[in-house]
Amino acid sequence: MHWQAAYGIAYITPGMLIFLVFCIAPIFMTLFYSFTEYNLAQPPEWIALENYAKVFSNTQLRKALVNTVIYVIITVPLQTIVAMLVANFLAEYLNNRYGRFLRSVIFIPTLASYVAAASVWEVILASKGGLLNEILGIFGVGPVNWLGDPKTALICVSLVAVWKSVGYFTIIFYAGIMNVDVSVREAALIDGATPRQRFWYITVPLLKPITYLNVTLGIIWSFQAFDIVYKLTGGGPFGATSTVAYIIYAYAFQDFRIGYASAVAVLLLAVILIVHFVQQHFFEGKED
Amino acid sequence: MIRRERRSWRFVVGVVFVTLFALLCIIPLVYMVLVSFADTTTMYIRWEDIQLFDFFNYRYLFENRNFGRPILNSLIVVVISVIAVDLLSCTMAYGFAKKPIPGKKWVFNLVLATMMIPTQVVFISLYVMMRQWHLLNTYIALVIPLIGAFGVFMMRQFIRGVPNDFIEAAQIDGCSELRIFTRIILPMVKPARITLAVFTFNSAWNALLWPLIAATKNEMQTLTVATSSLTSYFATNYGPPMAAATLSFLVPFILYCFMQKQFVEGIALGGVKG
Amino acid sequence: MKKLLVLTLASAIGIGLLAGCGGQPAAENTGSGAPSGEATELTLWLPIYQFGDGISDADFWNEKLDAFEAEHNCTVNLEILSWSDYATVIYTGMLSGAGEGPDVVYVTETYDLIDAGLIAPLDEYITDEDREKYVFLDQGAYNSDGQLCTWPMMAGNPCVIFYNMDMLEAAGITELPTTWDEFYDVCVALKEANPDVWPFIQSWGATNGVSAMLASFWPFFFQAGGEVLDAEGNLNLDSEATLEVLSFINKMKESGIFDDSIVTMDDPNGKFVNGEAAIIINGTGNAATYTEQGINWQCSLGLEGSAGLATNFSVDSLAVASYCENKPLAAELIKYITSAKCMDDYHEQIYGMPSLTTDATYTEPEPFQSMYTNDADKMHVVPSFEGSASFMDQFQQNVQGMLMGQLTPAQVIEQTMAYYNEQIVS
Repeated sequence: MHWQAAYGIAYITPGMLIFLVFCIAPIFMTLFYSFTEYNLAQPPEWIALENYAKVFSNTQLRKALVNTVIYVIITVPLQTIVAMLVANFLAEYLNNRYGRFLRSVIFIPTLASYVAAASVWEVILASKGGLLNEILGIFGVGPVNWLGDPKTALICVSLVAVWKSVGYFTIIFYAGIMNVDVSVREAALIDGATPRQRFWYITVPLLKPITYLNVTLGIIWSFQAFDIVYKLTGGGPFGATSTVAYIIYAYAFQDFRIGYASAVAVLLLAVILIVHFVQQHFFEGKED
Repeated sequence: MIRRERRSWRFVVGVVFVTLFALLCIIPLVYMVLVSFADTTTMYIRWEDIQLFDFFNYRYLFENRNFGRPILNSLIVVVISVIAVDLLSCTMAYGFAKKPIPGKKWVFNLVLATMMIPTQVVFISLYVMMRQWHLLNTYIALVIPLIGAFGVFMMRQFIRGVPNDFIEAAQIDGCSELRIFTRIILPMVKPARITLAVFTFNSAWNALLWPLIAATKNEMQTLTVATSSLTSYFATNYGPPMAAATLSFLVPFILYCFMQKQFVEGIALGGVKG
Repeated sequence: MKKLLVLTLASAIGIGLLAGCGGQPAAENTGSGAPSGEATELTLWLPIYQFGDGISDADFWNEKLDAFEAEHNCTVNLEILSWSDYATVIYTGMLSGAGEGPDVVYVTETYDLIDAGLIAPLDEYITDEDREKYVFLDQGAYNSDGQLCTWPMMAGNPCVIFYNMDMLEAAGITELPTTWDEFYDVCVALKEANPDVWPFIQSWGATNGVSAMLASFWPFFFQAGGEVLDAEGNLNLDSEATLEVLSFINKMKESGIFDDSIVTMDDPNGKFVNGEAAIIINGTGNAATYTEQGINWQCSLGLEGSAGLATNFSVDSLAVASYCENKPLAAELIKYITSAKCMDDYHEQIYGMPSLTTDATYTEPEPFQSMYTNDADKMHVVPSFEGSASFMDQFQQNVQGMLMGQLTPAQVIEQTMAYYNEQIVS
């Protein structure tokens, strides 16, 4: 058995080294930098908690944090619920060639990068000459300045993100439903359960572990939303779509205020951890 | 299987809704492809501006903007990262799943915990590190952040499912340790490895933030970054950016057409089992 | 078990700190300047300026550089950069130091580069002859010791006002406005004559503050007598001039000259080209495009504000990296690039700009050449200052807030300055 342990260590060592150096060490470096002033040109200078003091009085950042939370609140439930409903319908009622075709089509936006997705949505949502406003114009609506109005910009950004990711979650839920033992569903059918009852009392509880995973991943990913903002709005107008991740990018890699950006990044980590524990609690609580 | 609902109005409404939903998913991308054939200088894209099968916007990308290079870069990054992730994830996962390493639960949880860390936290210092080691603008720098805990976690789930009897039987037969790994474990988790390859491919091909900061030189730009930097150039001419977006979309799309089963089953496997 | 974890964490921190503090930044160990002077390889970074179908930037310069290489028996490695995130690319490139970064580089934002000690002073390479020959030389950027650090290469492209004369005539306007009030009246008249087009358009939705303010703020600011920096070199935007400009812009928004989409990313230049906007302020370099697109345009240098006629122009320059191993050769290269021998052809074939030297033969097309000849003293440069890019981003955002009716002009200034003082400098 000792030999087996040695083999095991041999198997994990190369990977662990890479993890330690490129994944774990940077976390602590960033923590360290968050207490310094560092612009890459001069060596980091220790300034203790000054960055954090600034972080908490930064109105721009406060706005970005609120935006990020709104973004998470729109995208995560929406992509989870829509994906679950669509997957449920496809799996339960449209389990044929057409259903599988639709499933394949719904997945396609996931293949596109956020850059490609944002590029085309930018054209579609353009205030003048954009496809959406042209179509709405036929019905005498608009034109709406989708990305230029702070009231609609963040919602548009969130919806584009949902558009891009919903196919991914649909596939997972679909597979989850198909995994539910057929006999369970048929038993429910024989018992005379309505479709709604079957959905609420069989599908949803059985999908709980998958939902938990999807919500967890969704929250972690959504809190880091960068690509879509960078490409679609650049954080504007009037900071209405800037997210924490976007701000970190701007501070760190446009202004090269590494220390300050690190403090914001640490703050983001703290927020994600808090939300994660709250969410964990919520899921566990529901089980009782 | 559930025939009774077939004819109900609920069913019809459902089919219509799901069909509309699928259309909503696909129309923007069809529009993207159409506009990539348009020669416009205005915000207004007229249908008569669209000349299908006239590839002038694409020709422009290759002739004037040297798009061959970013495509090549992206392909290189994808190939290296798929191989690297597969290799590291499988070896680590095997160690964690089947070997009695002291304290492995702790170490594994440490690896797992990195999935919670926002990429920005890592990227700031990773950038500083890469710069000091003169690795910026290299393929190594572009590949490294693609190695993540997810692959290890997923592969561990699958390798755990390989019955110990197989391994013990092979040991009794005198199989070497390496042989057990390469001849028994790896083939048995092949579907999962393909899934992982698909995941890695997708994230490598579509990554924006890290290539944006780690590859400052034109010749090291990936396709995603090149596409992104193109749009800011042509605010009024939507043709070239849409052509670039179409190109970047095309490679995963073609792969999806040929390997749909692996994509869908892979993601389902990863999501349901993981 | 726990010991192993502690051990791994400890080693991770160790590695982190090692990487964090161990490395020597490029700027430090080369700040004193390497006197060897033997290196015969230079890396040159220039941005793309060929936006048309003519000879590419790379082909043009490679041909020109052949002569330089032969004369000095050296190699010049040319790299043409795209404009996206240009200042960032330059900063990171120069931070990487010798071997990876450029030796000679085209710079736009200079403050951070000079502040970080990445740029070598040029004084010792400038002869009296150069000072006479290169007309824009004193418009370069200086370090805190007053030494010239950048050598102007593209000086010009002043922001002028372009008018679509067909639209003005349709609205019964025959004379171009000269004062702010007249300009405002013209806009109102245009709006009444044709409510479907923009009378005047600005770029407050640009991707960054620098480009947003370039044509939308600075011309008015200088007309109102504003000065970007005070005598001590501190930012001086908390001023009457700023308030005057913002109030004017706000007035145009409130009277409907601007509609709500003024704050979006839509490209204002495209609107002018497409005949969707009647007036735009833009660099003179765009005139050729307007002519090509069949716009019947006329232009004026600017308006007369409370401080008279003025506008801004840009001076982008070449600089030598402090880590460059052969600075005399690099200085020679800069002089060669900016000489009439290169720039005359460059202005003809790649991008038109006012000539840099007294012996140059290229002239800008009219009416711009006369502007340079007659009104050069009315053109002001916006200097690069500490955190200028972030400041301008913040300023742009707050102006967007004003245009959406959420802030008053005074609040824009107050909030921008507070942010600047608390978050950017300090």
